[in-house]
Amino acid sequence: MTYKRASYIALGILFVVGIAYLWHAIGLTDARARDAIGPAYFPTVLGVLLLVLCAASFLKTLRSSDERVVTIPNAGLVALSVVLAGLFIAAWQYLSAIFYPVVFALCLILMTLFSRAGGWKRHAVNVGATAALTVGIYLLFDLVMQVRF
Amino acid sequence: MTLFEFDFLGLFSLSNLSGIAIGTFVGLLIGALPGLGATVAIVLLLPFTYSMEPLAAILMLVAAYQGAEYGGSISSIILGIPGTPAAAATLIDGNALAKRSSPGKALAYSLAASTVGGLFGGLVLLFMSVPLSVVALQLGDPEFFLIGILGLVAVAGLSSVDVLRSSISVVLGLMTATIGIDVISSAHRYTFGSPLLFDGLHLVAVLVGIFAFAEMFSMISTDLHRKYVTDRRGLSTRLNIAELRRVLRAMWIGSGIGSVIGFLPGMGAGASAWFAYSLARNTSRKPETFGTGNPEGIAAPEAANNATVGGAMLPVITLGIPGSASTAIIMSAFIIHGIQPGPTVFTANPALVNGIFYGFLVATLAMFVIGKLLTPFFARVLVVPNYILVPIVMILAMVGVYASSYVHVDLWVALIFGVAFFLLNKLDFSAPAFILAFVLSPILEESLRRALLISDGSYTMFITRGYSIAILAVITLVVVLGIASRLRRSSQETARPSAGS
Repeated sequence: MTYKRASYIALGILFVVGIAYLWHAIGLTDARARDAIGPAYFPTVLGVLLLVLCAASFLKTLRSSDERVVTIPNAGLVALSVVLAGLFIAAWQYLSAIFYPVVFALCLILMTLFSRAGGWKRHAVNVGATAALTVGIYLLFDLVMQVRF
Repeated sequence: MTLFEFDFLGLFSLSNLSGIAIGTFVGLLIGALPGLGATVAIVLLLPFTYSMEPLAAILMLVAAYQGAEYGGSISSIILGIPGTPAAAATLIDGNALAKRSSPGKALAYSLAASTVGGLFGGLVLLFMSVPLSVVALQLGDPEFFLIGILGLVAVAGLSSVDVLRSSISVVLGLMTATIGIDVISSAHRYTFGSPLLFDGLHLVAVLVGIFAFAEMFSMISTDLHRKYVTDRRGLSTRLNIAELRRVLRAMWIGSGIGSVIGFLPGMGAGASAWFAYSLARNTSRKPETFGTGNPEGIAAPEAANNATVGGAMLPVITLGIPGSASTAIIMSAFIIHGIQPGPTVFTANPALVNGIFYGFLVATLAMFVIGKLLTPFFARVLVVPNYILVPIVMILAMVGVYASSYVHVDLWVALIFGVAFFLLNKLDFSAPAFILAFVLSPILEESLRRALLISDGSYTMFITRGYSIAILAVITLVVVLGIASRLRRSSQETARPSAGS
């Protein structure tokens, strides 16, 4: 995707966020109209500022001759890492009893994915590093800091 | 508060010393890894501070900041890859000397200069903070609001290639911090009725997302299979007196510049290292030797980036206003422990403030000792492949977020911010500007609203008070200088193609 097109999308999203933010801020004013410098004051200023800056940045992008292309190398791997991190958090949240096996599994899956092909030596290193991390978390957080997962 | 009425024995308690040792070790380790700098080191340590005593917690973060500034030079010198923007200036002569002579000699100059710079910055912090706090006590809400604005203007103008997008990042940071219950009116803002949002978004979750997760996604995207090869020989960091004397001038230049630039908001270690390098070269008797492995070209930027730490802590402690992402995170450690930095902290927590001052000097010496002993180890850590490093940092970051709040929602917040800033960074939005605004937002809003309530809604108090006018003049100067510099750069860019044709 070109830099300009990605910028339009990002600025468009931020513009919508700005409108929603401002809308909520105006609602706060209605509830407490007696106080001019109340809880709505600062958010209203910020909401207007965001819309103005987004519009200015949009115009600047429109006028620029920037032909750069925004790329995300290894986009699939990044997306997969995000999904795996999400699954890890969900598993942790709802199945906290199996926290340590889940830590071990996530770490090993990520290392295996990231290291691509490799012989048994590389896999052994991955398993060793994963085991060391899992034990390290148990010793540091569970035993020393008394954090219960 | 007097500087010398202090329980020095208390400073050397086990908790304080272990905080300094852990902070220094982690700072050196993270700083040495290319791509990860002081901010990531401090962010990763922040969750651990919850269960620590306030002084030990703050000293651990300060030690990590110091250690990471030196650690960044290790990859610059050995690999020729700057670990941090501040270490880029060190690369020029550091890598050249490493190739020409020995990496150990270049690292020795870096370590000695970092220590001198760190001590100089610490002394500036020690002796300047009381006079500055006396001035700060005379400041009111309008001035604190304007100082906060000055910090944001400077960061927005200096931290990104696109000022408009940096400004948008600032506004987004300010907006994000308005989530939660308003402290003045108790109104619920952007909470959508969820009790999880009543206290706002958790700072550690936002920080870990923006700095640790976004950085890890960036490494997965581009740096996963980069291989580093280090020479394990010649890593002894030893200097004799004659070699040390040769770089004294450069170390003083770096120390002076670093302390001053550290105090200025938005500038940071990168700018101070380059300024110091330029000044050392321009005032040298043999400027032509710079770039070929001149030790002064290592000493000046390294002294500068460590002196910046002391200078940068000055506004945090005396005004309660940080000038960079790293100091904003350190300030959050104060807030986590219920301490509001600013001029009143000197009377409210004199033991803590004195402990930070003297502990800062101890942390610098710890960096020297640990750096001297473990630099060869850190040099070898550089060969740990990123495909092993990234999962470890990701999981430790998540565990750290949970350990700081015991709330799973914070993990989702960190992940969402990580993905968002991984994408926004590619479009020249500024993460440091966002974070600084996020931390400063409560101070800015409260001081602005209090000032306006006192003045009955009149804005004239910003232009009728002496200190306010002076700060407004500085803000105007920063804006004008920023515009002038951008106009000059764009005219040079338009002149270049026409000259070429």
